Amino acid sequence: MDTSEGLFQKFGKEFRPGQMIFCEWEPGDSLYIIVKGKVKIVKIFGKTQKTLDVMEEGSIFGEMALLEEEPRSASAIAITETKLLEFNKENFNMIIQKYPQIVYNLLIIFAKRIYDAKRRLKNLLIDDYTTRVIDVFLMLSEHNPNAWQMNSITLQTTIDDVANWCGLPVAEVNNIVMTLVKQGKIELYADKIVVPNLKEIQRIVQTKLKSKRKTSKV
Amino acid sequence: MPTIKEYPKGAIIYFEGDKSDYIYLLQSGQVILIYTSLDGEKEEKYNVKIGEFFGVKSTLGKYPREETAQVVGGARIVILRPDEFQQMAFKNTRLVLQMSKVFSKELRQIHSKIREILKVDTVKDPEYELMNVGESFYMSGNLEHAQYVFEKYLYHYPNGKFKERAEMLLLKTRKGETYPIDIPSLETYVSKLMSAYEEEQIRETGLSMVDDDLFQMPAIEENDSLEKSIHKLFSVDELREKIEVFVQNNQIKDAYDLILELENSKDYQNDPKIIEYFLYEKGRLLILLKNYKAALEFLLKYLKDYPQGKFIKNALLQVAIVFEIMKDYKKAKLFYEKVLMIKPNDELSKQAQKRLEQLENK
Repeated sequence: MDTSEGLFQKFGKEFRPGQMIFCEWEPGDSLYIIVKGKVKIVKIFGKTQKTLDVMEEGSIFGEMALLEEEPRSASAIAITETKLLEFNKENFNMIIQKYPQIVYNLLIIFAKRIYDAKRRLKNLLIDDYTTRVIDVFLMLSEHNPNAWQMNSITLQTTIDDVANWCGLPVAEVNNIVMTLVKQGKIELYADKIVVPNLKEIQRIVQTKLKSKRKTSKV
Repeated sequence: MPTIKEYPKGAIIYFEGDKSDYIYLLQSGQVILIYTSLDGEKEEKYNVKIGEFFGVKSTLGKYPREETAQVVGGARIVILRPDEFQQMAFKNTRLVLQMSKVFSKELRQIHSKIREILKVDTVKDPEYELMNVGESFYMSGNLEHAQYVFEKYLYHYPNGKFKERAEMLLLKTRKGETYPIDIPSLETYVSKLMSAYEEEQIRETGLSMVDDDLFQMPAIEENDSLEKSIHKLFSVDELREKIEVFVQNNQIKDAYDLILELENSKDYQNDPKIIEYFLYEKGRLLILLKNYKAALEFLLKYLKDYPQGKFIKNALLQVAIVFEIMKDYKKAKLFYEKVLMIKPNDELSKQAQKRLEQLENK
């Protein structure tokens, strides 16, 4: 990433491999830009840790802290020797003038986040629980063009995760998932869920939503 | 160089679902964006203003168009490739800043809607969760990260409720010791802390501040169904009446034991409606048994697990009451207000209203 030495002297921070940058539930008001190295984003689910993302040079993370005063939603840990720029609300507004490319990158991140958040909200607004659960599988497949080519996907996810996504009680989701398994629409394993025919479940969701739109117009 | 194009009346610039290659700027004329509302029910329209960009988010985020852009009465439009837009943005920081503000506002709004639906903000205590993250790292043998979290805990909560525990565990991580097996789990530690706190509360106030009628459910008309045979499986409403009879006779412990017994019987283990009801009822009964910590746990779990549940309003009211007993008036108010947000204006709303008014005077 193109950044001058002066900027790094002022806002730079260095981390060694394995060092924690921030942790889940920690209050924080800084955003980070990776100048050099790799950073993983991990989250604890029950007793296990899951890596949600690996970020490289030029990436921005922790940006939600600029928007809302919420604790961190996941932990960030350096994978390699890592150099970061750390900005908080005040100095961020100052550097914007000097380094428009940073804000531009942030704009792209916001655009992606808005899309993902809208997608999640659309899912949560589906009244019918079965349709909502099926739609979670679609949602989790959408960033994977390969899966759509193959028309099938293996999701590294559990019933608890699915319940989390669609905001329904685990017991409820469990029942729905079992019915879907019986109908052959999905296959359930200890640590993964397989959707053998993505287009089929896409049709199911679309038909449901369309019929709802029709009835609401009448 | 960006191109400028004249579109005739009625022309479609792009369709919903199209690949997003360009960013557009309306120079003159009229363009409308047609999109489906998030709940999928309505078609909504937006008039693009002169000098306004459109198609920005989907192009930058590289996802398909979410709306259809149509020319209404002929329009002159500047078409930019992403790299051209970027060049322009670098020269015009105010534009980027403006856009990032619009974007972040939109993102915040969507997030708050999601939180509203999930009711996450009502469920978790950040202080407890932070401590819990540290313990999870420690238990999985990751001493370095555990140490980091305990340090942060003590920094952010210098007088926190887990101060002693965090200091003890921090010391052990620094010495490189494994997670101690002889200490209570964080959960039990919490309930111990709470019971000490409760005793103090009871001694201080004798709980006289809590009106008895606070716990009364809206009256249930008695009828013959109570006499139905034991062998028959009860519905939620029937069980509720049964429990209510115990409560009216002040046999709270018996009511609670009955629920535990039924929970263990095979008859009710697969009935989600009953399971839902039991969770709520246990929370309510525990308040009457003055075990507030456990009550709160059950009720908050209910709110989290059944955001559309049958007893959601009751549960919110009970949570508010517990917070009031624990003298956390801020949270109590918050939850009474949540009760009032749920229609209709019934007995529960009236109770919440009454409590809220009394809290205002404190």
